[in-house]
Amino acid sequence: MSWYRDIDRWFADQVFIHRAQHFRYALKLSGNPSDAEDLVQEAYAKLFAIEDWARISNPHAFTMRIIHNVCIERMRSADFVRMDRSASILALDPASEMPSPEDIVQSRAELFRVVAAMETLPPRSREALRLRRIDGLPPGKVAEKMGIAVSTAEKHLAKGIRLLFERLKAQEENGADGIRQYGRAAGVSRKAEGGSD
Amino acid sequence: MDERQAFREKLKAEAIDWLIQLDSESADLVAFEAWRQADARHAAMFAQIAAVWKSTGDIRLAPDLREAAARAEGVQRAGLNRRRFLIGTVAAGAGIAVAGGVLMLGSSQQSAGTFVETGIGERRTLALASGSSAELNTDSRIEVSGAKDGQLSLVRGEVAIIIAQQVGSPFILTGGGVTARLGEGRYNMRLRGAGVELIAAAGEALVDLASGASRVLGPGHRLIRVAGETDIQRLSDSDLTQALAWRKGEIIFNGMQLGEALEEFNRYQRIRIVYEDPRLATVRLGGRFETDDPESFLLALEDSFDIRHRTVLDRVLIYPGPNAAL
Repeated sequence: MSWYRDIDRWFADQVFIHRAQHFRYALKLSGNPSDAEDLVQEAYAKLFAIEDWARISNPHAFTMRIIHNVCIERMRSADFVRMDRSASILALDPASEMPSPEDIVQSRAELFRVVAAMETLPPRSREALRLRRIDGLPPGKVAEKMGIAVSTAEKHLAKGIRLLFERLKAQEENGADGIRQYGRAAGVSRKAEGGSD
Repeated sequence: MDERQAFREKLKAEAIDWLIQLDSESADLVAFEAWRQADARHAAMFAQIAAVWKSTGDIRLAPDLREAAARAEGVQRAGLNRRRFLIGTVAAGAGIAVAGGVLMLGSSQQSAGTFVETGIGERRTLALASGSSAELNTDSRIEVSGAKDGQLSLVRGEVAIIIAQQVGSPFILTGGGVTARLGEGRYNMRLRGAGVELIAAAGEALVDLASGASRVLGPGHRLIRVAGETDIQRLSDSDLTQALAWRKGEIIFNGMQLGEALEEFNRYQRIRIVYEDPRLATVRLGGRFETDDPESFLLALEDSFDIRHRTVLDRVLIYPGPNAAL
């Protein structure tokens, strides 16, 4: 798995695990979910442009600092600055958003959220992900077991991972009950990725 | 969707494509690295997708979590992702407890007025006494109105009942003017307009009609009662599979006409799919779709028939494209 680099592992274990906090902080700064998501994504991209990422002593706090800085940069370059927002920026110190001891042992809770979110996937996507990731079957065997073409199995996997990603994100944005509130009423216009088998 | 959001969506789709190709070792590694290094945002999005992917594999290492999830599955599968569900308890009935979201119907003396319902697009599984279960399809409602347990009424929609073992008197299912005594087996009841349809997929039921007559419904048979008329037919295996596909979140069309197919599909959709051109109603189609995946259905209509769609207010209008063969 040469494509899964040390920086990817570092990012998953040290940064992405705190993504709910990153989003909430960005939301406090920016005031709306779309801008917040943008801030978080820009901050993550900046991490991947850092040569000596391995020397960052507290990656989570560092990420919070980047989110803060990106937000300030944007406000400076904007034509006008919303006063209420800039006031809240000064009042918020990212250091106060440091991980608590609970965060550090949260990986198990995180895992449970993934398990629960997986259960909400459409049956075929869930089955494909299960066979591939939990039972550890190779992709060819997954397709064989499901009685479908490999390319179709891959579509189910792709759809599964996309929905999982989105549902975990929805959970973070809505708090712990997010997954219950997840709705897809507007999903009709979205590009389809699933097969029709 | 604003421009930045559209960009993120595009990036996400690309990252997922790469990940699936890399996982199946079919990716062009040089092309992948070129993509990843072209922009730090590519690398960052890919790492996020890869992190979620990795976490699904970590579940393998935590069998206890999987067991916990399996226990919760009745609830989860019923569609936590599907909006809301309702459990209402009107009377202080004995023996009915909502535990972990699963409605337990235990032995009780009286339990008047308890109901369970699902909204559009939801499914919900209930544990009944003795290992039996009931599963509600979309937009359905059942009531437990009898003076004793082992009795359910279907008030709206569709319910599947699995009787694991018969303890004492048979389980009684009512709906649409019929009363069925169910032995061990699997059954499906659906209200359709003024009529009712009862299928015995396995097992045998004794059905009392409103007229006072009784009929035996054997395994693999379907009873339809509408306007006082009763008809019992044997179902082919494919008809049976089709009728019960909803329990897997699927809908199967075996040469069904599009007009009818849309009625079926729309049962599960908050945003209804409609047509104006009457020629579309008679297009026959086949295929298997997921009830919560209208996109794939619409895409298949376009790919197979050049029937296109656009969103009009709160509906999706389908219309023939230039190459539609009508």
